[in-house]
Amino acid sequence: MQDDSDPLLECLISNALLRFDANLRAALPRTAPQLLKFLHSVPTRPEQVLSVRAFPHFVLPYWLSPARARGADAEFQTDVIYSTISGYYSIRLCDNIADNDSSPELRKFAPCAAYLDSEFIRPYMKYFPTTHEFWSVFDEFWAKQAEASVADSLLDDVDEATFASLSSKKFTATKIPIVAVQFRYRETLTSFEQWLRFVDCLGDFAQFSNDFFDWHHDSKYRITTYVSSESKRRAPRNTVTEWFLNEGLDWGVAELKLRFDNVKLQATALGNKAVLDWVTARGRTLDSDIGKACSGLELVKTFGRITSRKQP
Amino acid sequence: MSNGKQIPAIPSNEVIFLNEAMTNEEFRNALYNAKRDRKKISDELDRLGITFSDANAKEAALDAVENINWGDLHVLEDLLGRGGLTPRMG
Repeated sequence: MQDDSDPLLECLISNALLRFDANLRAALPRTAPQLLKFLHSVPTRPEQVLSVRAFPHFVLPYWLSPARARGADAEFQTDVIYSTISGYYSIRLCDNIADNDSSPELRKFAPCAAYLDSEFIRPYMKYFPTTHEFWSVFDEFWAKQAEASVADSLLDDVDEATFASLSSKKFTATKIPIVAVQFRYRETLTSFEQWLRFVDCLGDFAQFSNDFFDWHHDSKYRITTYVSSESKRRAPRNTVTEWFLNEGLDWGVAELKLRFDNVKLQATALGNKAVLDWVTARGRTLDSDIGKACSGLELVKTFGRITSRKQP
Repeated sequence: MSNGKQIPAIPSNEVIFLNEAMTNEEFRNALYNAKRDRKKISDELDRLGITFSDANAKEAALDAVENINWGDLHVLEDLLGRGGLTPRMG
C-alpha cells in the first residue's frame, strides 16, 4: 500500500468515504444498497483507495497541495476527495452499463448518475463562485471525459493513434481536482502544466494496462479495445487466445513497459517525492504482475507439450 | 509486423487449456491435487476434447501432469481472467 505512513491522508480519505456512504444511503435509501452491490471494484475503504494498483485519482490533488495546507485546510481536502469519489462512482456506473460489465439490472440504476454528478460538483461550489475561472476548466475536462468515454465505446477498431488521442483520455476528469487545488493554493502554479501532462501519461499507461490484463474478459463481452483490435490486425485468421499465446503477451508486455517508462520520465520531471514513491511502487507491482502472467503462460505451454507428446 | 499474416500454429490443447485455466476453478483445483484427482483430470481431458493416440499415451500424459507443480496456475485467473485487476486501474 502506498503512503500508508501518512495518517492525515488516510484520515481524510476515511472521512470522505464515510460521508459519501452516509449521504448516498440517506439520499437513495431504497437503491443505495443494490447500487453498491452492483458496482463491484469501486473503493469503499481507504486501503483500496491507497492500493498501488489503483489509479491515484484521490491522492494526486493531496500530493500537489502544499504540505502545510493539507492539515490546516482539512475541510477543503476532504471535500475534494468526496467530490472525486462521487465522480468516480458516476463514471464507473456509466462505464459498467456501457460495457455490459455487470448485471443487466444495473441499467435500471442509470438515473443514480444524476445524484452522483451533483455530489461531484457540489463541493466545489463552496470554494469557487460561478464566475470563477475554475468552472471553465471544469466544464472542459468533464466534457472531454464524457466525449472520450462514449466515442471510445462506439469504435469498431482502435489503432495506436486512436488510442493515444481518445481511449487514453478517459482519465481526463482526474485533472479536475488537480485544477481545484491549483486555484486554491495558487503557489503550485509553476508545476501545474507538468501535473496535467503526468495525468495524460498515466492515463495512457492505465488504459493500456486495463486493456491488456482484461483481454480475455473484453473478448468474451465483445468490447473493442486497442489490444483486441491489434489482435485482429496482426493475426486476422486466428482467435485472440491464439494470438495472445503466440505473440500478444510479448507485444503487450513491451507496450506496457514503454508506457510505464514514460510515466517514470514525467514523474521525474515533476519532482514530487510522493509521486516518485508511488511510481516506484507501481513499477514493482507491474514487474511482479508481468512475471506472474509469464510463469502462468509457461504452465500452459507445459500442458501443451505433455498432452501432445508422441509415444516412443 | 505484416498485416493479415497467419501466426505460427498454436497447439489447440494450449488454447483450450488457457481458456479453461482462466475460468474453471474446479479444473485448477484438480490439477493442484493431481495425484489425488487423477480420475477427475482424466475425465476433464475427455470433456475438453483433448485426445491421445491410445490409452497408454493418455496415462503417460497423466503421469506427467502429476509431476508438474501447477501452483501458479491461479495467477492466470487473478491477472487475466477476471475482467480487471482489483482495484481497477481506472
